[in-house]
Amino acid sequence: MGLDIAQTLIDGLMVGGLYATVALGITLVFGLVGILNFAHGQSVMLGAYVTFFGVQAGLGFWLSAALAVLAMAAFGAILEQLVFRRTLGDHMAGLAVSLGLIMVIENLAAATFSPDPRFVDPPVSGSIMVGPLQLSSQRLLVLAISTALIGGFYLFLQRATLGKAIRAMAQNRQGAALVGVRVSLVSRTIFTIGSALAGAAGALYASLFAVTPYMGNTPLTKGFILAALGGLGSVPGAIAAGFLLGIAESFGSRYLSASFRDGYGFILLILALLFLPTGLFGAGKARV
Amino acid sequence: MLTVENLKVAYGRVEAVRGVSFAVPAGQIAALIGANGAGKSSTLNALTGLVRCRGKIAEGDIRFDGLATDAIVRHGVVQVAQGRQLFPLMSVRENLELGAFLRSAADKRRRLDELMARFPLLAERAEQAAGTLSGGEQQLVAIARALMAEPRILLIDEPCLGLAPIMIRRVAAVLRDLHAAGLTILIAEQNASFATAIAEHLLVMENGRITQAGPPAAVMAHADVRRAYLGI
Amino acid sequence: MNIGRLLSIIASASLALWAPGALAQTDTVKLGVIGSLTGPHSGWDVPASDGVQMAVSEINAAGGFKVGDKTYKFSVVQEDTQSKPDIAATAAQKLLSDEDIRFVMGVLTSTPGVPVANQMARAKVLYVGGFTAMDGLVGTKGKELLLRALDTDETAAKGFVPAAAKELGLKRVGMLLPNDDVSKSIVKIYEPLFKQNGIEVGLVELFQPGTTDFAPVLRKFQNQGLDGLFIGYSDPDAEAIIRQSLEIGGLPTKFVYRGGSSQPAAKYADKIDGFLWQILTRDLANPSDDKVKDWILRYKAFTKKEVTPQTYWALTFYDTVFMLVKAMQEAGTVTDPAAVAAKLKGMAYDGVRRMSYNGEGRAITDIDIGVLKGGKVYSIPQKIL
Repeated sequence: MGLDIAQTLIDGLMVGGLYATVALGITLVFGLVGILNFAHGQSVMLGAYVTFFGVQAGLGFWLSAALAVLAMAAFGAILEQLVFRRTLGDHMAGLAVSLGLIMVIENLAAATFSPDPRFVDPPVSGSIMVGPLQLSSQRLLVLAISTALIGGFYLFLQRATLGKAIRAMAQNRQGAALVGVRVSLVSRTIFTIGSALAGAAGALYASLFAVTPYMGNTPLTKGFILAALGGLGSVPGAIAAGFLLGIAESFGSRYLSASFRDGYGFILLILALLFLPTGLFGAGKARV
Repeated sequence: MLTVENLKVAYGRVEAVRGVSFAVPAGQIAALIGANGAGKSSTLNALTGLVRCRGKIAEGDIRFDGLATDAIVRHGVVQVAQGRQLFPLMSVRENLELGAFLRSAADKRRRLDELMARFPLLAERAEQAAGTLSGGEQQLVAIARALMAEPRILLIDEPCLGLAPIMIRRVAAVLRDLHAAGLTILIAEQNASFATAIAEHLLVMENGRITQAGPPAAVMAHADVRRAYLGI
Repeated sequence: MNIGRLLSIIASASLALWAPGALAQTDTVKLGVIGSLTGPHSGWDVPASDGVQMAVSEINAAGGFKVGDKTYKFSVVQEDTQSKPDIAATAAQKLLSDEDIRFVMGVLTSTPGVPVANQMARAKVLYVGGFTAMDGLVGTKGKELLLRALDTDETAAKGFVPAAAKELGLKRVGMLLPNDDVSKSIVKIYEPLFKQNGIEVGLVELFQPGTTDFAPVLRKFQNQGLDGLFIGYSDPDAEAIIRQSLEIGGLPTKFVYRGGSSQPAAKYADKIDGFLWQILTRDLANPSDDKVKDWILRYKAFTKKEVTPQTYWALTFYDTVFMLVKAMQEAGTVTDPAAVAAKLKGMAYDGVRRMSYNGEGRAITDIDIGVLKGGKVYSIPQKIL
């Protein structure tokens, strides 16, 4: 029983790392630019496809994943330049545009890649014994990578000059401008980093799950739940919420019913909104 | 010498600043005084590129109207804006460090040491989140943050708003120190007695225009102004 | 080619040639073909339509078929349901406005299928469809002229479960399916059948449809003494389950797939100990039967298309046309759909497939079972009829 609980916990953490990576991108863009970027899930999907085609072309998983990150970074920058720059300050327009983007990108992907699911060969396969625990090697790898990404990004925000500028901008846009932060440049950087994170998440998703044109929707919905759960705009909140959701789903599916899997996240959200209306860390306007 | 010629700021159809011209010689403290909505903040925001404007803004021969805020900061013109605009969740130290965002790391360290030596309060509260400080302390942090950029021209919007008298005296002292150190300062202020006490030159703004200008004594001698700002 | 049919074609052809004046007297039977030639469901219905056209072209090329004293040829009247229920209703009405059309076939998907079947029943036309929801329609009052050309789950399971027991040597299986009505009926059908074939069902779990991460639910199947997993019923779900079972470890490596393709296991062939799937008609990918091989050659020549997993539906309706002819001949009429339907029910036909309809109008046909074992892919014919 104890063994089983430990295994389920680690299963939850492994998927939670993925959730957190996606939620991080969403909360970042929202916290800084004030846009709920619905197209974020599409970046996850496109990143997964870049990985799939890279692996198929013989580049191997790692190179393909790096390519996915770069491609999605560029995608984010272009999207910001062409679309979101123009909707700044108008949340409804930003929302409408990003919803529209979902349709456009998803249907283009379905038309180009066909709706058939594709599976990517993961860099490692099978399971390993860690003490008495039998764990999936690839999932452990995904956990390690997502933790490294999240941790690295967190350190970047805390320590790097640009990271500090990003946090400053999230806390006070005008204040940031007054000290010489070029707000438009940081906005684009944020979109670029957020989308690159989504690309990384896409590569990791592809190493575990089927790649389809519609795969972006689940991470997107869950990402939004998490961003809300963490207190919209709060980076530590989104990260903690990601892991929490992974664990809740894992325990729910393992010990309760697997047919209610996606419901556990919403229960968490509703409870959080009722009892912690300002998010997990209660920071209210808590930002990056 | 900071010169402003025929400055205009409009928000949609509303003209907030309607052709203002003035000059602040290097090393002088000047004060824009006027009622709420007279166009003081808009003038300062135009000077630092936060709002779009028309007209000519220059320091000496170098024009900087139309430039982005970061370029103006780089040029040595820094504003302490209304409401202080601190980063509330960051520590005092991080706030100050960000003040030197455009400077080298070495400059940043040197400047931080200087300011902490000059204002012991900053050193005392260095690790405290800026949002938890009192209003006066926050004003001090905001001024110090602006000084981190080593400006040649400092613009301060309503330095006394919401402060207790003891804090007002402290802020005044700091401004006098800066003036003594040779900094050019332009204050926007509703509190006319504070402005007259500290400034060498007063500019009275009404409805987006400068209606009176001159040394404090001369301006305050004017009956309209006395009535309007000193209530006598 | 099936000798019996070849003979019957030659016989009818020679009759048509030799009977004096017979050529001049050839009459036409209008055959309605309905289905989604466009839209997302066209993947099913276009092959079905190809199958009908292919059969008709072969019959007509051989001079037609004889019923009573007369020789008839088919002429096909086709309508497109466009994968939409409202268009399907209009398309059905359009077909039915031609009073000479008394026999209609087509539609393999339920959304456009239900309105089509209802219109056909009302017009008292003989209609052979294929969609799943037809199981709830055939054999009910007023729907006596409706027949479904595909085996029900129950019928297919009767051949599938014994094959699973024999090929994989299973003793105790777990069932893992999406949480929906189809799965619930699958469990109801298969659970007792497993028991009858000496296989215990250790665990039944229904997962949320759309699940991509199966790790937590698969944990439930660990340490249950299982030697096989019964999974369904879509290819992506099945592949994800197989892949993640291998990834997590400690789970059975024999899979019984209630689905129609080897695709889910293809990439993991050397890592699993067995995979069984249902070929609801005949194995077209690795045919062993000569009449299947011959049919594939003719299919390719006629349609200029390659064989895909969807080609099953062409074969289904190809045989259905010949079976319809046989029923017309036995009933001695081409104008009385009720009489022809009555003959079809209970009749067995040995075409490329062996098929029959029971008294209610449900197909009972032999199927092939696909097996992937020891890295090899093959199929075994399974008699159900």
